[in-house]
Amino acid sequence: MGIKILKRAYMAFIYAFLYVPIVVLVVLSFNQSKFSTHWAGFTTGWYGKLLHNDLLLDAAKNSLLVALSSATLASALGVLGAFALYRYRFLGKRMLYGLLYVLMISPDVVMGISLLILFTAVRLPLGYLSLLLAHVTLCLPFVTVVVYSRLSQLSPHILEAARDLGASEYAALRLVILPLIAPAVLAGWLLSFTLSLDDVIISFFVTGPSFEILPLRIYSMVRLGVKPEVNALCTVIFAASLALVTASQLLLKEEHS
Amino acid sequence: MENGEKKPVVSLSGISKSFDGHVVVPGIDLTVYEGEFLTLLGPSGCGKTTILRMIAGFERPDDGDIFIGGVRVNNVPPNRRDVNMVFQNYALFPHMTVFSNVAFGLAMKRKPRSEIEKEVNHALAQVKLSEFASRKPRQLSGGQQQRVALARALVNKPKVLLFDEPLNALDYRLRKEMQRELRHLQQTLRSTFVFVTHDQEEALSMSDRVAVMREGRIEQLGTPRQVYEEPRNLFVASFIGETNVLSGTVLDILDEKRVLAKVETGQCALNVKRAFAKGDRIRILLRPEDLRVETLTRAPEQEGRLRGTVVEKNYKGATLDSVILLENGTRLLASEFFDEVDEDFDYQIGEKVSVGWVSSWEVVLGDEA
Amino acid sequence: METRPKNRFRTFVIGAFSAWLLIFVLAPNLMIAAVSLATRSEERFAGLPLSLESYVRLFDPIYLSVFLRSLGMALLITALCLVAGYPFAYIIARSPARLRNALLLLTIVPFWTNSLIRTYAVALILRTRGLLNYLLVDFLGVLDKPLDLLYTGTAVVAGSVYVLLPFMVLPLYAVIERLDPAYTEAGRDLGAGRLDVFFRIVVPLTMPGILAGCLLVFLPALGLFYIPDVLGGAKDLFIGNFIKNQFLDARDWPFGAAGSVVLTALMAVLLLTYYLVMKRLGEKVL
Repeated sequence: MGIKILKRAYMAFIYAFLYVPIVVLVVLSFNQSKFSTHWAGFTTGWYGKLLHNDLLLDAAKNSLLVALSSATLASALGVLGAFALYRYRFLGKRMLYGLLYVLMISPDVVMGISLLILFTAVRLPLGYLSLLLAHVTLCLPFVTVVVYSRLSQLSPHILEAARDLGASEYAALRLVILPLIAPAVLAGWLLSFTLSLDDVIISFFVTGPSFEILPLRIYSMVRLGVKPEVNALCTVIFAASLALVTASQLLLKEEHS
Repeated sequence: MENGEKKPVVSLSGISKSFDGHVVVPGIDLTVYEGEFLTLLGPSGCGKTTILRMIAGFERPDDGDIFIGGVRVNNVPPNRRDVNMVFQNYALFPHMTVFSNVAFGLAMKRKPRSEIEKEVNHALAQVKLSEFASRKPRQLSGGQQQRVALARALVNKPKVLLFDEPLNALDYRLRKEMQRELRHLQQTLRSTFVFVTHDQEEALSMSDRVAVMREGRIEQLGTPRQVYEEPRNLFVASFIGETNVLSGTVLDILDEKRVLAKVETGQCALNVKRAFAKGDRIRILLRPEDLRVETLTRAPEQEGRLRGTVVEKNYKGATLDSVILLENGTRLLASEFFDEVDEDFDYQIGEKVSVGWVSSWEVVLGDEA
Repeated sequence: METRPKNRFRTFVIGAFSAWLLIFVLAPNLMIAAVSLATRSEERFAGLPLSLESYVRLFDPIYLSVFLRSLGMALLITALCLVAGYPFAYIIARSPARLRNALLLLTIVPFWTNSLIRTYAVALILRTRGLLNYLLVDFLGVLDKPLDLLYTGTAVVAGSVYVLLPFMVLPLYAVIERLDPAYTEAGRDLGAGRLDVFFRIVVPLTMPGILAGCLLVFLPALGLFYIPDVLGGAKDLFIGNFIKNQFLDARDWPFGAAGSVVLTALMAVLLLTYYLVMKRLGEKVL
């Protein structure tokens, strides 16, 4: 019996640890007091301020744009890469697969400066394009691995059957394989979208003042200390990601049932 | 095995267990005697594994007492009971060598190294795996892994050795071989084995006693011969081996051991082991090998035999199996041996035959609902 | 599997994918190595002559101590995540099936929130007029003066553990969940007490997950520069901060690149160790 209570207490403690900061954030976003934690009354004023903050709204728009485009491009490339790994034998295939895993856990800092060096060397101005290329590179291994594991679960005869019936490689991929791996591709896309929206470190290096994105805006605001609008902004983002996660879980459930 | 002084080594009394409100074992009593090979036999879900796990200590009975070696062990955790189990998928520790696996129990008892080495080598020799001591489990075949699991349990010299359907994963031939080896080992060591299986052939071939179980209850507990030749009810009869179930009605009481009864389409005298009343509905159990089939051309009409037509026949090498359709639609399965008397018989599909059986080999039961 | 070389689609597929990796992964990393050997230059960030000067400077006691402190804190963070995360993952993995998914989801939800935001939330709690001090001083009256927690090493460690804990829990959970309960039962059956079962059976058999989790925490712990930035002020430099500072503030690209090469080398060593240990355990690596 004692062990059971200990277990429950432990779990409760860890969950509290995980959630308290977020709860505090949400609560304080409604706090009238600017600086302290003392509750000074309920207000939605900070949210109002948020809506009028053009800088932030611009940054949010840019972030979304980058996330959407890089997720799509990364997914397309990732499907090609996963297909290549699945279908063809070529030199250095095992190494390529290992490289993907290494990329996934590589520190972002290293990737950030490597791309900064590259872009400087070819004199590419830092803005939307550099950010896009960087984010695609960031997300590519993730999509590839996700799609590849789904592919490897498919029966090897499906592709052979398509070829036997006269389909070219491209047609086989488009008409037969793609529909079958669609959920994995979607999962990869969602993962890329999230990674792109979330990214702070790589973006820090490869974007310029002409193209502000949200995480970096938040970063500069946060470094200067507490700002109530930041609380409101963070709460909004938290609510949005919560909604996204719930939606994807419901979608997954639908698929399985 | 000798009945001299039968010492109980495991006693279950009034044991019941439920999971999630579903009663798996409603309340049973069972005694396992020292030196016997007892098998718990039954279909899946009948509670046999639950009972085994309660003896091992992995499940706690909701009610009742478990005694091992005369000591009440209800509250004793599994690592302190003097029993060891051979798991269904062997559960050999993949990160340890065969030697370390077998030595594990002794290491837990903090035995000195020299003793452990001696005992483990002895146990490995017993299961004929001495050369595999430094291999890892994944390098062994299924049969070899099985024997390591056995050695790992045996080496601790427990009071009882428990087996949770350990031969399920083996192919037919290997399984038969292991059955013989296990039986031989048990008799040589004079240990007590409690074996769980759903395979009735396996149970019959290895055990001193068999407990046939259904839905948490022991339907019959007896020697293999008793369970096979004198099944107590329809479930036991049909679970063990093939059986024909004929319907009938008691017409007259002839004496305390025999009744006259209408049996399917005929009428005959039956040997009974309990009292019936006139008019009682009865079931007559006959094993396929108990039946004797005669073509009508060869044997004249006889009293007490049933008339039918051969609708199927199967040459099985040692036997000729046939399905006889009686006039009232009942089908009988007969299995007749080729022997010196009748070397070479055969039936034609559609041939008219009469079916009888060896007198007193029938088992008469009351009509169960 | 087809190997007809004339297949144009095949060439396209392999080519496009490899080209991207070549241009955006291989080449840039080689460039880092090249830059690390260059000399600092005002107009073009890095130029000739080539020398090992940057690497030599890394061994300067100031920088060496920064690196070592960084490593030490990352180790501490990893250890804390492991100690806190293992029981957590274990309890979830051994919960009844319907509960398990809910518990897992609850664990992942904070993970989906931007880690920068979560770091900021930790700052909200730890600062002088934050929640923790409010509780200790004003509400419970346990302390007289507020704790000066923000901008200390403790804050950085706490914040890092907070952000990185899910990275430890998820691989641990994956491995523990797959652990056949028969192994622990067999251990108990053979006389092992709870401690013996844990250290002799469960830990060795979940080692792949432990190693993966440690890798996934240790490396980011070294590189996530915004955590020390927000929670540590200027006092704590992790390797990530060092690299960032050199590239963006001090504009000493060769020096920063040298630091990055060292970090990459460290990562390579860890990955190699992981690979060798897994091989020794007999586990499949990929």
